[in-house]
Amino acid sequence: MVERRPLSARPRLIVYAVALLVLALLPPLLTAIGEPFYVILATRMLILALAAVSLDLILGYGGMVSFGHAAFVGVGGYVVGILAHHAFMGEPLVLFGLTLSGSNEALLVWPLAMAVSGLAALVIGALSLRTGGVHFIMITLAFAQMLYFLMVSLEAYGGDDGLLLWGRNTLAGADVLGDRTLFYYLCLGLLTVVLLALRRLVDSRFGLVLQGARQNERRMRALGVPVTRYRLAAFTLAGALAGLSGALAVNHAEFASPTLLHWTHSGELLVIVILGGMGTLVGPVLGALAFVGLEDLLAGITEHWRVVFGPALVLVVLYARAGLHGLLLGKRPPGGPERNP
Amino acid sequence: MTPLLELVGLVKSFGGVTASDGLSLTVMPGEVHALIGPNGAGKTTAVAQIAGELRPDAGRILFDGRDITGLAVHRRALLGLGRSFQITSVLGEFSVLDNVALAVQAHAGHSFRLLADARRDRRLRDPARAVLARVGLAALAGRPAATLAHGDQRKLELAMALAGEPRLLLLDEPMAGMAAEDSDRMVDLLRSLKGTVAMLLVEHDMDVVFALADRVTVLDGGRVLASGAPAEVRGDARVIAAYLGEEAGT
Repeated sequence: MVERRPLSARPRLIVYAVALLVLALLPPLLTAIGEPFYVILATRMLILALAAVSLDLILGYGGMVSFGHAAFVGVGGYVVGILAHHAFMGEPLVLFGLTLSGSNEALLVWPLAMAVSGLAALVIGALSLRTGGVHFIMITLAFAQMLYFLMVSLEAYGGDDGLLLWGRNTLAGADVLGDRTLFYYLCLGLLTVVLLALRRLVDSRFGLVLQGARQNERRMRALGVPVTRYRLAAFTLAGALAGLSGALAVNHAEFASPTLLHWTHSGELLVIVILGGMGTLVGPVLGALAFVGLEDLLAGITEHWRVVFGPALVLVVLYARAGLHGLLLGKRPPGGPERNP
Repeated sequence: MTPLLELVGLVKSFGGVTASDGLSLTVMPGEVHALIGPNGAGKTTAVAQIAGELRPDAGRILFDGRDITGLAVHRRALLGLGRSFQITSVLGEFSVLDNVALAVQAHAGHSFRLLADARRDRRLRDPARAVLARVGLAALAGRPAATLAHGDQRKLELAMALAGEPRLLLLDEPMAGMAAEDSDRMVDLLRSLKGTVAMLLVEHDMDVVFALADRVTVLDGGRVLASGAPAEVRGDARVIAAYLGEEAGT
């Protein structure tokens, strides 16, 4: 009822460009109004947005309701945490007879975090994608909780209490990520690159197969498409991107904790994607901004902020079916005529 | 000549119900073979086994001489088995052209192309437009598939099946739910395809069957009651008793 008519391609691009400009000017603006510490909050929004965008790839485009996405965020985070721990202690990590030395180097550790998260997603996806519907939701939740309890059981890495980092990763050897403005811009840059790449991906042959399988799996198989293979590839990619978000989150908080993987965190990611608008990629960014913003605002007013927060979410989901994105920009046309040269 | 499709003694039962009971039939290259029979005769079960959605309990399915009994649905499609569904099955959010272009894409091989815009790929769009022109949907290419009238959606289904350049079309009641006029147009369309592609046609409407089929097989209780040229089958006393008589009576 409150959805706008879809904006055509050009105005939409302008809106995105202005939004990016505002985000790029945010740190000096916050300094100008005397609230420089809000950069920390804004960084948290961007990191959460990255995880939500990766979930949107499989949820909004692939139709895979994963209730365990936080597990991949957590795995990526723990890769950073554990390697930093070993680097600090100066003792190597021995894993399956392999000896790895710890590291604090972002250019090494972050891609590794993505690889390990991607691998976890590959294994969990390969098993979970044999099912569908409610079973898929439940089995992804179960696997995520298994990983959660695995982290809790790692006494060497803090167990229940989590793992404290002694500072952030280095970037190409330089200890610069501690600078909150620079770290903000790094997160913004990574999020932008991921958004642009995924935008291309969802309109590619791969992306169309993924969306086709969401609309009608049986038809896609009858056309000759091995649907599960494409879903698994998307699930793995989303897991790897969630791992990057985890690596950033642990750097941001300088702390890795099992709660990163907890099912409530997976639920939050689902809420953020639905709140922002599924299948839009940009929507989940709006969702993350609104989620973190509201949480911060309401928590400042009353400790019972969830009483207001919950119903507010319900209202958006009920009355703006296409989420905040639909509210602001209109529903994205499904490959409408102007996109068919 | 080797048959294009050969079913050899298919058996499939669900609990106590035997839906295929030693079912054997062949479809020759280029032939239109109609499969008819009263409700519950096992037509849909037969189609599902040929397409690969159901595995037979016993028996074999050969496609162009090759045993495909254990092959996955998508592998059969890539071998040249095109399909239209009994219940209209299109990708509703995509445009009509997108639907057919995806069918072209599926036939062209893997889809692990991650960055190029598939909607600007002439190798997909041009053949898709050609198929749409063939079924008479060219004017509706840009419309979301879900907004098409029922008859046009059925045509789109056929276009998607044709885009894969199939050797055998598996048509499960292609005229289901169509208005008389649309149904006539679909019959004309299928007749124009005769000779270029073999068809296994499951259909209730006897006029359609006798207008299109080179051969008719009548199923009853999961087995073949009669098989032969339309005129022979029409005159077969057992068929009249089991099926046609009932039709004539109503």
